[in-house]
Amino acid sequence: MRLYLLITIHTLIFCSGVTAQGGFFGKKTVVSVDGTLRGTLLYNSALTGYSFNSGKVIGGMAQDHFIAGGFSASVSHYTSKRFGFGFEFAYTANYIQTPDAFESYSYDEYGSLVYSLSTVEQMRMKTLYFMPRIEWAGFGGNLPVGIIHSFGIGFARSSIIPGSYAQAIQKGDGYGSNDTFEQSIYGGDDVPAVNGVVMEYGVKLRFPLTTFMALNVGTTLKAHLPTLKDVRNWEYEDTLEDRINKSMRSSRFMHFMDIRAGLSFLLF
Amino acid sequence: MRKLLFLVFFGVSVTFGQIDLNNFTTLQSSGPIPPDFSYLAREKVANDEKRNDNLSQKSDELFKQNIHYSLDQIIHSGLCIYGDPISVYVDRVAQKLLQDDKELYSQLRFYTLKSNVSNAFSTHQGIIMFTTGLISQFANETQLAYVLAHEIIHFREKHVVQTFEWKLQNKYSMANLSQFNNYSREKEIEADSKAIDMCLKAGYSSAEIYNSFDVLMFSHLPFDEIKFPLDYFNSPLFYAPESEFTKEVYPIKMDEEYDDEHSTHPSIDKRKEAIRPLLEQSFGQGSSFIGEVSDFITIRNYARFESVRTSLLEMEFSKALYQIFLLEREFSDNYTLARWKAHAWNGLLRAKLDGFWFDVTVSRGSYEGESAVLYEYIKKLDKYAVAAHAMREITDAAAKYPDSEELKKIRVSTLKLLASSGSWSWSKYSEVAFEEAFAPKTDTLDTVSTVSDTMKIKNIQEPVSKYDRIKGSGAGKNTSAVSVNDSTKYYFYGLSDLVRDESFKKEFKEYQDEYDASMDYSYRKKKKNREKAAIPVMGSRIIVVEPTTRYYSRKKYEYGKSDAYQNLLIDAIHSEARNNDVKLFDYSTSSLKDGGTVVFNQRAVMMSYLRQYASLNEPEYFVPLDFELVQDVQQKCATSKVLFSWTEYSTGRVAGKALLGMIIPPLAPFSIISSVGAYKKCDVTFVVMDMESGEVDYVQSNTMNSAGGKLVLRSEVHNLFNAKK
Repeated sequence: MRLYLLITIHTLIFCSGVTAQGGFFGKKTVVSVDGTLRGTLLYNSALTGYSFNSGKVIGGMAQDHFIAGGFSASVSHYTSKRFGFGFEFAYTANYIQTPDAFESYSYDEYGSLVYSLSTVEQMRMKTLYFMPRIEWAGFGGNLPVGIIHSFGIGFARSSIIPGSYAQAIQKGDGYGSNDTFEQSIYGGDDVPAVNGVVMEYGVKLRFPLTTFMALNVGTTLKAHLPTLKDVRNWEYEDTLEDRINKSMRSSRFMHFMDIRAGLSFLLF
Repeated sequence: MRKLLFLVFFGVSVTFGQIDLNNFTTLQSSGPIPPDFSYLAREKVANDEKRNDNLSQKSDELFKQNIHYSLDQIIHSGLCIYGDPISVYVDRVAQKLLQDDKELYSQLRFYTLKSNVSNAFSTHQGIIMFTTGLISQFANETQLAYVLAHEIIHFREKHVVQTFEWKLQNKYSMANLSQFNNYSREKEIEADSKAIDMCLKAGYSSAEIYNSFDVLMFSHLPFDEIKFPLDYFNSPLFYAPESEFTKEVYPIKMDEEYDDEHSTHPSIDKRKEAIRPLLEQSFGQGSSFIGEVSDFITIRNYARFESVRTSLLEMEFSKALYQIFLLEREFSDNYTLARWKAHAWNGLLRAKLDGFWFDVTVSRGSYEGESAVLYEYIKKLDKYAVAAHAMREITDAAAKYPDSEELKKIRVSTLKLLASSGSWSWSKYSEVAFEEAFAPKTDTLDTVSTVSDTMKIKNIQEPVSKYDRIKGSGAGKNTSAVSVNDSTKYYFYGLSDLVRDESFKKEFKEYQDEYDASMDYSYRKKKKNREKAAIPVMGSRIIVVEPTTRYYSRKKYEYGKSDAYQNLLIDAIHSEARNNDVKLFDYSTSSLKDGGTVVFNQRAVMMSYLRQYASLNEPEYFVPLDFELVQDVQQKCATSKVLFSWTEYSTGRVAGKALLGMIIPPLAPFSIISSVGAYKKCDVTFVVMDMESGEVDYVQSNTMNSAGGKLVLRSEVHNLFNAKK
């Protein structure tokens, strides 16, 4: 580890000392805005979600509802035609797999066993990324344009987008049942959220359109830490919030790859 | 009518406006620039679309592209000229040959190519080109006329397009090379035979037509075959003993293979056999010269002078010195030959000191005839002997022509070369001349008298030709004698005046100190400093020569795309020059329509300069061969900075990366982006040179995974013009 740190520090010092060579019209600082799109590349037939209409569950949702859309804004500075560093802020939003209608048992005030079956409306989550990163181009690099590889380690915060999600609860005591309907859960700021470290590797092409603007097309891979711990194993005793948190982690995991396109502005 | 006026004007200029060979620089183009030179290849292809050569549409496109782009490389090489005395003379001879076929004559254009390869060729477009090397070899007008008639027949009979068609129909490859050679040889024999009719009708000598094949047989030799005098280098201050020259005889080989199966041309003997019956009936008829003998001798002299220059440009210094010796017999005290001799010795010294001696001297296996005496003498010189010869010749020439800036520069260049060669010392050289140190050699007297006789031969109107001399010398017979070696270090006595001269020693010491000071830095740092010294270019003036652009699609060169990308680069240079306040002097092909002959000639000077410069590994202290012309260009442009650019495009293979995406579908976006990003490669290099100092000021080279479009090229030029100190 110590050796790794030494190599990293040495690399950073060395790279920052490289005299800038050229750049596109001598420009080395770039601001980019990209639209991102993520699909659930790992197909999972258990992906479910429910929608409601007038308090009634009307069914599951198709898988394409799980495509995540978002945007990313980044600023990069290139110290040479082969190396640079930058910072990215990204936002994505998508539906999460909500827990199946889940059963629970409790006792009422009379000591009778009460069986309940809850169904929650599909929720939307958002994820914010704060990502310092290094960017490089291999032999033949011509930063800031051309083919660009990037690697970043950053912070990711995922949370449910506040909204009046519906929850239907069917309760029964063995003799009959009654349905209750709650119109709004997680309507305020107090929503489930998960934080974590994220690593990203990306590659993109930047085609110059004018002397100050370029078109980006690229793709990235993200690995969230911790990765698969407690993601899919819903426990009987898990609360709804536990299940939503796990679902958010699961969603991030399954959306590990994005494709993106946008514009770059070559500043100075 | 325009052509007639053009010919009348230049006919007059050849007769009355002769080039002063004492101040010869190089042959230059004259008159209005012909479309062959001012139009770009793609424009010629487009203009040619209407012409029907009875080829299928696809073949027709390919044929026109091939003929125009390949010829364009010659025409715009800076070596091809128009309207010069040689081209005009050839045109005149063509008029005589085609006096009964004005229409055919009107389809032809005649140009000169500066090359020592003895060759002439015709193109499908109607261009007939003679090299200066071939012109320098002719003994009379008939020989020139016969070669010209041969090329006219190739054009008239459409041999170029027929050959192209044959290749298409027979799926030409190495497998049927032999068939192709047969076909090609038939065309040559046809041209030989029909050319005889044309020449005889015009009144040319049948005997000299037959002798034309001697020109081909011996064209690899210098343009004359004269015994090299063994006291050639001797002067009051320098003495080279006869014993230093080889006594061995190197016979001229006449061993061209009769079997010509592997050649596109028949063997010379077979060609002679084929035409002999056609000539026998008219043998003894006709004349060697129809025009003025003096006109022929004049243009041949131009070609011979040009041949010396070409030898120097090609760094064949031994050959150049023999050619100079040949010309000195007729042109003694000639300033042009004196400065070229200085260039030759400067080049030899550079080669000796920089370690490329074997590249500039003639290999022993190639020794033939009288020139071998000089080649052998030079070959065995050590560095002290080369330095002695160089300093002697250059010092004497500079003293003889004190107003010559060029000779002064060559002298300083020579001294600086020696000063930078390490611990060079003059202490090895004697302060007394050879004659003072040794008793006079009686064996030189005979040679002196022989040479004196030889030197008397001047202003020969119709000399005994080189070919008569070769035949009379018993060429082909093997004779040899043992060389006598004298181990005396005669050359150490050749610079006695300089070694005694304190001001000379002081001057040399200054150059040595200058060099030592420059070596205080590491080479890398020195180079970096030098590259930074001359920038930024912004706000300055710069000469732009032809950008070289090559586009390869899967390793196959593509003419059209190369041309298009070259145009992109030229546009980018112009665009960024405007944006960055750089005054451009454009000597690219695209500038010729507006610039005309003046720009064409200046462009040729610059290209020759660059060719000479690029051929040197370490061009320090380099003096251009066309010194005065280069200075003229500098003065006209008010700058000594030259931008030379080289771009190369290539497309790669994407199969491997695409396969990755197919095997692992989630990685498809990566494989697509990586494949697209690395599919095209573009290498852009700019070199800014300073003609004044003869050094490279700045190099910018960028290899990119990029299609290298207009914006990328503009960016590269922008960065060049804005390079910071």
